[in-house]
Amino acid sequence: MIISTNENNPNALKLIIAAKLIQKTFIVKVVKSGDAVLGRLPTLTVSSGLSLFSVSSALRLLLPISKELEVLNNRWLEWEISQLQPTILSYTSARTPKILQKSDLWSLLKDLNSELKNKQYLIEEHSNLSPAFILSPADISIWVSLWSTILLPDIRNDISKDLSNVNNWLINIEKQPVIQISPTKEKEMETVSQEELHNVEKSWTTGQYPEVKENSYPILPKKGERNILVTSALPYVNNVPHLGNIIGCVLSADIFARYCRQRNYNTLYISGTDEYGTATEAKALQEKTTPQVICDKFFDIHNDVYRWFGIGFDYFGRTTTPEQTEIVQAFFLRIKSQGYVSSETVEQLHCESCDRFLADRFVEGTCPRCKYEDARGDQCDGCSHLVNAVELINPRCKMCNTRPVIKNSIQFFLDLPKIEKRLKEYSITVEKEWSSVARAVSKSWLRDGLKPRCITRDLKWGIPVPIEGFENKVFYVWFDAPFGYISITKRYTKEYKKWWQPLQDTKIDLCQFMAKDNVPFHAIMFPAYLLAANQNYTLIKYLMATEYLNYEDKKFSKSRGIGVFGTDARDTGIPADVWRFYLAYIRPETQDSNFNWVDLATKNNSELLNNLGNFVNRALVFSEKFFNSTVPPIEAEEADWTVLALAQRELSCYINAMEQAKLRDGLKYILAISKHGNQYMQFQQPWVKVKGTDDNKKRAGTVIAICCNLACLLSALLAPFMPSTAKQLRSQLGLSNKSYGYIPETITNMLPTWHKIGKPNPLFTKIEDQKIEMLRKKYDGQQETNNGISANKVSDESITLEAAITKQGNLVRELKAKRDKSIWQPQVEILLDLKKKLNDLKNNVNTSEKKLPAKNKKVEPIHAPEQNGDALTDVMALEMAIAKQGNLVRELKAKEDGSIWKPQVEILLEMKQRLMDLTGTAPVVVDKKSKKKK
Amino acid sequence: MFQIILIPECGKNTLPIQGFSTIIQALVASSKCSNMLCSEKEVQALTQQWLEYVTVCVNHADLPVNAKRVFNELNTVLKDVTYITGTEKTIADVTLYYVLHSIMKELSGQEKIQYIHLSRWFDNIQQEEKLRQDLDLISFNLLHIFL
Repeated sequence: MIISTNENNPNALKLIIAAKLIQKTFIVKVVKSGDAVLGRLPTLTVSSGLSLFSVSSALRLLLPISKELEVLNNRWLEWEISQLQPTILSYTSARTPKILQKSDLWSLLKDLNSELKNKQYLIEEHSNLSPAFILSPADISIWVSLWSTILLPDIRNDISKDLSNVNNWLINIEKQPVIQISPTKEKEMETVSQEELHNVEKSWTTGQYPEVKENSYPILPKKGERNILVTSALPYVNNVPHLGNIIGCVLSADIFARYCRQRNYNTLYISGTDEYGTATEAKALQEKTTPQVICDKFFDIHNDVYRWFGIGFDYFGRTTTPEQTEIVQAFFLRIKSQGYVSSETVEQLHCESCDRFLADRFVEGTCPRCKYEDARGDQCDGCSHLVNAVELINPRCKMCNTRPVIKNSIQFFLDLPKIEKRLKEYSITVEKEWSSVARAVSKSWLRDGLKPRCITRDLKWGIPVPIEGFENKVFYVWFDAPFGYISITKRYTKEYKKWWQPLQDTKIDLCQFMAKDNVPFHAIMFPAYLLAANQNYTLIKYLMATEYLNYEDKKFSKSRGIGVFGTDARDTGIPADVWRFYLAYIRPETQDSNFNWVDLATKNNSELLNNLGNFVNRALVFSEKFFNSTVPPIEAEEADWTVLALAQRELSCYINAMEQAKLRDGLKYILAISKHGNQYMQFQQPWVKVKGTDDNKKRAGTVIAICCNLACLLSALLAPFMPSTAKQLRSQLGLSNKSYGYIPETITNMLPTWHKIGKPNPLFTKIEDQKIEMLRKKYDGQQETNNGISANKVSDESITLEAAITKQGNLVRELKAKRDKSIWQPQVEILLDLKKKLNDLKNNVNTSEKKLPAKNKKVEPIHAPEQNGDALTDVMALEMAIAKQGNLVRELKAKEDGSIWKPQVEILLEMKQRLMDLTGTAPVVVDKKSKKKK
Repeated sequence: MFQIILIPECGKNTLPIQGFSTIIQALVASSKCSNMLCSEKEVQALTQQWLEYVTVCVNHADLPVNAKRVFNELNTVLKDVTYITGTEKTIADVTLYYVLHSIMKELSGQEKIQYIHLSRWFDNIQQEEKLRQDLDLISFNLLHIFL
């Protein structure tokens, strides 16, 4: 549907509200009244071509009304246009405003008031189709006319004083969800100006679509071109990465790097594992092997995981290389010669029982700054400030929990105060472009003033300090790690200096991706090292830090088996591209975000499958079926330019977002383009036109050709996020899949007329609820209990049962809607039987296994998860079931009579009773939201 | 300012029905010719649109300036269609005929030519005697103007 209107016409709002109520897609066009038929606006144009200038008629067409209430609805619509509107006009335009209570307007409002006596709405229960239809045309029309003109606070006061029925009616309408969304925003989004149409037409007919240039090894920066060096924080080697680590650095950096390559920037993406440090050393001790073996093992794990996720590093290296040693030592000597290094005797924590100096990560205690109790020796998780291990209050050895003693040792210090001024000058020039969390952290650091930092340690597994008398010491891991970026580049190419110490006339943009805990090292420490060396090193330009990702409202925890780690993602059977898509979709850009299985399935099914996949597949299938797999010629009309202009708008936003590495937004703009495409296709109905006259056929051809072109554009835009899907799409489009396609700034004709497409195939598959529920349980950390095996078996069985129940439930619902009782009653029996079995199974678990009273869960949820794991699952399952049953009851109550919903209420009450038995808390009457959170 | 028409006993329901076009629709619905409202949704919407047009525009066409706009608009619409809603005669045509009759009667031959599509439509409608009842036939024999 198209709603054409002039600026600020409240009558258009009536049409928008109605269109939203019935959930029809529509476009709002702002036109001049001279351009409209008869000059009357707004008009509604529906897909058959019928155009109405009467708002009342259009509303009645959109929102059908039952026969008995038609007369009443007509009467109030007529009242609105023939009496209310003219009266409002004369009231508001009167030069000397009359007293409201004596005006014609007031007497009309009094009429309305008496009509509304004992009524919620003017036209009540006019449709039994859906609760969405609660607002009738008359109610919408009169409310908008009043609201948009005279409902100023003082008039409203008068109404609430004297016309209580009207007042209640206003309140009833205003609490409708459709009224609460601001319609103006939507309007701005969807209107296309003549200029935009003109521009898109011009770029379409004259613009050229460039190719992606081929890169040969090695990729090097070039003078006068855009050169982007992308890094992701080096993952520490003795952790298996989880989803949060993956989206936090490597995946974000990969999406950005892929985007840059498709923009023909000279792009080098490097990363690698960070391998030195105590943690590795300790782990080696524990596994009775050498640190190098540990590193090799974990390097392979990381490498495998990233490869599966399709992370396209130009080079994935490691820090245990001769290049790293050489570069770190050279830097140290250089910085020392520049006078930025001093030596000092320091007190260091020594654990008597372990007989070793304790590295920062192996001490915990209370943060001296914020009093957070579990601050680590190097950094406090509470306030994210760096900590000096000896300053911790009540330090404890993380290995044996004894209190370490302080011993003296000579160490080297980096004189940060001396470099502070230059660091500040530099920081001001770049921080504007950083993500907000990065900016916040670096600002607070510089504001607090910098202190000298110790950069050596009494350890073995690290890079030796190249000074006589210090042979037994190594560099602190955060001194050596950032140089990994340089040494890994050197492993990639001997010409690494072109990236890191570029010639004066070559500009390098260094973009570093990381999670927020790494910000201090990249925003302060690393630039400080490079500035101190004073050799024109490339400094960070864009610092793209993310917040944390949680897993189903909990923290990822390897030890407790909570969350998806490493190769788990592969085992789920969900394609890597869908993981990439969903992780980018929930990327914690501005605040911590949450991974949720159900949400993953929803996003896959609604956005990928129904929106994007549906659009490109339909476009290609039409081309295959009706145009012999070719792109038909285009004779574009305004509707075609409009969809292209809308897509152009999203494209510009996409480019803008991606340039700032706002990946989440970028993804949304892609989906917006396919949404416009879907609406366009729905409205143009090429499947009808293709069977019509020759002119109609041509029209259908144009529409299909435009859609194929949009699909081609989408394949390029999508490629950074979903590379292998994009390749599939490109081969379906009959394009070479050697490259991913250039990402243009303006939309041009990308597929020439008669271009031969490939074989269309669906790109995405549906993720079923049962599967998601199974996965959710699997990674919920509940099964790794002492009696893991039996619990597993039981939960497998109960999963099967639950799946069967869901299926049977659906069947019953379907039958109930269509058939009579004799048919659905037996099915209900089966359903009840299944439910009973599930109950028994769960009760058995609860009684047969020794368990603590579930009440304990409330008191100490973390310390006793093993013992009450099953009860916990049970409680959660019950809570969910209650929420679901509650919804069912509400739904039924709204539509059916007591005989149908009463049994369901019984079930609900029974469930609540059981929950009370389990948790020992009274089943407070709560709505479903708070119930879930409990 | 506005005359509200009340018809207390329209059909079996006892509620009074108010409003020009509402009353017409209700009358048609309960009459023998309920097909004049048309059951097809889109034509019905158009019918309602033109009834509303009669209420808010044509009923004020006794002022010459309003009349001019109404004539222009109707002439534009009727350029492409036989009846005001398209290819079917509906109650909108009948209503328009009645409210326009007194004004059309006053038009000069020159004006009738100026609004030639409106004239063609009007002449077509008034041919049906049952519909015209005792109103005068207006002459649209315009040949003499061209001679």
